[in-house]
Amino acid sequence: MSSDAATNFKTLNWDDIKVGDDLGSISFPITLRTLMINVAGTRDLYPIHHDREFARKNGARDIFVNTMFYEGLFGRIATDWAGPEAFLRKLRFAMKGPNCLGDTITSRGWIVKKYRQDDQNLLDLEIHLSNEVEQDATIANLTLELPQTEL
Amino acid sequence: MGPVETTANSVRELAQPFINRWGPFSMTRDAVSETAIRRFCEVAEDGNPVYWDKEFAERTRFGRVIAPPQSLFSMTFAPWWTPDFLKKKSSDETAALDTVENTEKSVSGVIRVYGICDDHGFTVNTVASQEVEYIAPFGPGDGRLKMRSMITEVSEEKQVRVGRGVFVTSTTEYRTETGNRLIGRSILVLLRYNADGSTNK
Repeated sequence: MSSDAATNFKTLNWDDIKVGDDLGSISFPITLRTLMINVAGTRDLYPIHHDREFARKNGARDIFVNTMFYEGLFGRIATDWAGPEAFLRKLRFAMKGPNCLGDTITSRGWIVKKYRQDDQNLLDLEIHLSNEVEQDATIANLTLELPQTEL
Repeated sequence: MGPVETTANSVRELAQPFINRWGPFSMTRDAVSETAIRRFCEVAEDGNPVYWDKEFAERTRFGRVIAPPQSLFSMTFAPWWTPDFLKKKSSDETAALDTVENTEKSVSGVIRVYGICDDHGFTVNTVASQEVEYIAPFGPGDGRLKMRSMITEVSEEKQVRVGRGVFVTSTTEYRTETGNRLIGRSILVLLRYNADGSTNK
């Protein structure tokens, strides 16, 4: 990838953002390939994420994406929206239900708070992931720091 | 099933000596690398150029390629296989770290408490919630990552959707090998459970 191609990436100006702004939506199908890349990329060999028999025996509908998949996805949604110079400061999420093989994850998210703290331009974001079986299976709260704005 | 258990036998009670005590530092086997970053980015298809493109990243406020902050947990996962000679070397290094940072040899409360869970039949684990604070960017050039953890809370036994178990809360702090910079802090609530729903025998 050349840097020329990357010059299209712009970071949002903190001054222009309002509480309630919409983060848009992404759709992510969970295929066997997704789950294999998930294991390889996050180094998590726990069988509940790749052994269907083990997952079912332990109360899950099927094998499902792991914690680090969510970390990766929430971080991506935040910086895809805000731009490459946004920096994730905090990430908290709760898993009500799993996103399993064959599900398609759909995200929705918005800005819940805009504030300055310790000389940083901060935004609090809320992102919900749903699938065909469960609405809001995973809910995340993020704090994103944007670059200082010029006067 | 036997008589009603005394509370002295509960995971919560047995875990008490380990609550709020830092375990020893441990260090990842490998330094933070561009390859590890790219493999993490492939998972959720994250195309942020500060993780991928040196020239672009050098012109940003980060001044270099950085790892996605949210990859911190993944970057500290145990390797899949290590030759014996290297295991020996890294356990010696870890022991040395511990002597430098702690006045007394610390015990890993996390390993001990998870062991107590296993003894109670709560052998399956699932992350109930996680909260991470990313204190500073990290990336290639920072060397390996150092971390230490402590157990902060163990719940009473509970019946949950997937079975019977306990919620174990732990805090972990993360530092860079180069410069010993504090880069993150996490709070993990792990459900340790027994999938067939039966209680301790």
